[in-house]
Amino acid sequence: MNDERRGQPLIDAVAGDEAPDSARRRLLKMAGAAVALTLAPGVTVLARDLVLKGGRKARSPVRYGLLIDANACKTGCDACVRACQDYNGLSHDPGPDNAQWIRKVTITDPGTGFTRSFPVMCQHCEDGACVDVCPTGASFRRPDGIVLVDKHRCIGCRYCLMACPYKARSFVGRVVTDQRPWAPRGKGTAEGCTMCVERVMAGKQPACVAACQKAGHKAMMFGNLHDPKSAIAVRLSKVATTTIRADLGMGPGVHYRGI
Amino acid sequence: MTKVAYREIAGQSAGYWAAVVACALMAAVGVGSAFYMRAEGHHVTGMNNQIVWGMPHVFAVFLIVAASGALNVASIASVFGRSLYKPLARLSGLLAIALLIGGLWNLVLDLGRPGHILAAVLYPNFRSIFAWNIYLYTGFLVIVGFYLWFMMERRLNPHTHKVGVLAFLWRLVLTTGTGSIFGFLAARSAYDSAVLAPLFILTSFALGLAIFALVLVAGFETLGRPVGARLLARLRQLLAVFVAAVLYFVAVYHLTNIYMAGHRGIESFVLLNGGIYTGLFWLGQVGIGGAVPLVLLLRRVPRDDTTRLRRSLLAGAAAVVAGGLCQFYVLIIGGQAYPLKMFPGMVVRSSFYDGVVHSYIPRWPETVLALSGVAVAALIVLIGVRLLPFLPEGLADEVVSAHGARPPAAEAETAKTAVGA
Amino acid sequence: MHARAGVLAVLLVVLALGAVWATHQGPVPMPVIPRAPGHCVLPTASMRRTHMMLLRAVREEIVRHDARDTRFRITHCVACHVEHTASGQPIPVNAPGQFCATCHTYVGVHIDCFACHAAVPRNPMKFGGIGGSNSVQAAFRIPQALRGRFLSGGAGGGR
Repeated sequence: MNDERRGQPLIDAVAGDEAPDSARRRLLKMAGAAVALTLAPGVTVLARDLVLKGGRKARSPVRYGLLIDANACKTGCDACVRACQDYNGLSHDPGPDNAQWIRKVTITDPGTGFTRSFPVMCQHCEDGACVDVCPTGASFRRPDGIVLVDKHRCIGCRYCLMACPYKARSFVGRVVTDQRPWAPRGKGTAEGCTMCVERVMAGKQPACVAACQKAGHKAMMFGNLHDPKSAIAVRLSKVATTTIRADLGMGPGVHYRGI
Repeated sequence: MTKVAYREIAGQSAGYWAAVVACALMAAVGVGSAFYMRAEGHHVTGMNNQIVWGMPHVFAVFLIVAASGALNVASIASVFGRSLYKPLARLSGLLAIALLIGGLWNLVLDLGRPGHILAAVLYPNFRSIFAWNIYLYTGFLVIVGFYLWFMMERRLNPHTHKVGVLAFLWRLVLTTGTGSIFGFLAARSAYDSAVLAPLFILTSFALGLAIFALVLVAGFETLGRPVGARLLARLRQLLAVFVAAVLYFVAVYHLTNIYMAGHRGIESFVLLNGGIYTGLFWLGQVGIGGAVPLVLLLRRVPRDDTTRLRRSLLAGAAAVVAGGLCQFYVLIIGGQAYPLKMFPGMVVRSSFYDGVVHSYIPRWPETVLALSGVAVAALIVLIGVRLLPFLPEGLADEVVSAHGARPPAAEAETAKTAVGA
Repeated sequence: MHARAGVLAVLLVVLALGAVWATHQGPVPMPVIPRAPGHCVLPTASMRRTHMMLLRAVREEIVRHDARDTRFRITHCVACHVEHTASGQPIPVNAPGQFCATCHTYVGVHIDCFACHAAVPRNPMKFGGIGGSNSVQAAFRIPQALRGRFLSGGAGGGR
């Protein structure tokens, strides 16, 4: 090694004893390879989607969704939350490690004082982050749009809890003994609103929607978003609605009016 | 041209056995803690539905990032042809494997259902960066294993360069993958940034080299094997460069966030009013992890003053390690403590802690588990250096330079193979 | 070298003693398995051999492909095989001495089905009702794919 090069730590560490030119060429080559290798996995997945699905998903004839009217939702009423807890066997106690598949959220605009209270649950997204990040595919979206956790596959890594923008996923941190036969849930797995899939499959409305109607508020509506004749689709075509964090482009299946 | 002689350590001293037993005990305690968490559920930990990932993940990410960085010394030697680092390459590979296993230990034992881990192999979801990481991590272990074999088996030595390049590229992808675990989370304002991947890579350079320097210098001192002033000075300089680069990326990360109006909330949380996270950021990450090592490592020390060189390198490296832990604590825990921004501009209240800063108080089970990952890494190194010749007999200046100074012909040859590879 | 041989010898002796002790205990008595009323969805011999495979195959179908009207649902197993206390309270099927636990204890198989699934049936009508899919009397349909695999297969048993 030459003595005069000793004082140049950066160049020295990279280029070593070679002629500067070949070293530079080699570095460039390597950087190129590194970039290619780094991008390869992502490009592969994207390319696969583009090739196999032509860049878009086929529109399924059924997409279950909800319409929540924050103007009709009554502050202080938690009939939907109670109904969910009762039907799915969840605790009524909102402790920090207890699951809340559905919760009442109150938002206030600090500038104008505008306030609304409404339920938030799993938004059953078209391209949910929870489905994307799940390493085992336990978090999945049914063809009819309901997003579920297949607890047979869930390993309890909680990546979906990290990824969900709606805080709709919970992790079961305790031994569960008093499950409902139609809502299996257990320690060590992630869970969230199932849109009461057993009820929906039996032709009924989700428990929260039924409870809201029973309470007389009619703030929640359930139905097939892709059936233009369904009540919910008709309503959605008439009133202005939005989805929470629409900017993320996940395509939530739960629409809100009045927020 | 003299050959560097490698030798297993004798491993008979009381100190060695005490260290092995201590690490094994710690690992066993970690397993016990994992069983406890498995039996009781995660409610016995400080983690909950707000702070989803806690201590084990801070240490796991720390160890995994450091693992890829620890390999750099070997890469500098065999990829970039710097012969000064060649005698260190084996230890570098061993450390990389050990740290990665320590990190994975934490990740796997913290799972809600560690027994079902096979599901990740049976039903991989390739849209998940986690699923990719499983392959990146196992691939890394295999490649570095081969790398070590090629370095140790004389007949395979000529091909070490190729495996070295593969290992180097793989480690870049691996750290990108680790950074992307957070970088892909658009939902949380602390993570939604592509800068995280390069930041993780630079952090791995600094952390890996710091841990490497700590193990090398402290270990050689215990063994009574010499480390020359030249090597110490070089490691010092290199570490300083890496620390400065990390600071640069941290600055870019925060400046871009501050510039984007929507991300100012998380920035003022981390930089100004986040309580413990603000303290850990400025004092821990920037102060102890950045400023202190820079001062220690860049201060002029006479070229032949081995004692002072060694001391400043050790102190600087220790500061980098402490700062790195703070960095990941701020990123992982702080990023979750800050509430999700579901309704921008609105004051949000609910029974599910929406709109409030979450608190995290680590409890014993997960803290012990987190530390056990470190113990496992240490245990692997301790056993490794006793079983196989990872450590050179000495790194005195004469040995290193005698090995390093090759005739011009050999030099040209290396350059040619390097370009050809 | 001597130390290693010693350790090996001790291990061997311990193992041998264990085996001798175990044979002296005699065979573990066949468990008495509580009987459920009526007929199972398959002959008992087939069920014994294939219930785990059936449940495994069907769980995927149910959760992911909504084959909810299959007869091989774990809820059906529980509904039929649950026992009741004198006062009429259902006893979990995985409690000691109950249907699932008896056999699995005997064969030394650990199952975690009931970490998530309910071990006692419940009347859905008390919870707003969920229609026929949870009821045992629901129309049974065996998926075509499963028919050949599980009904005729059972080596040497189950007709």
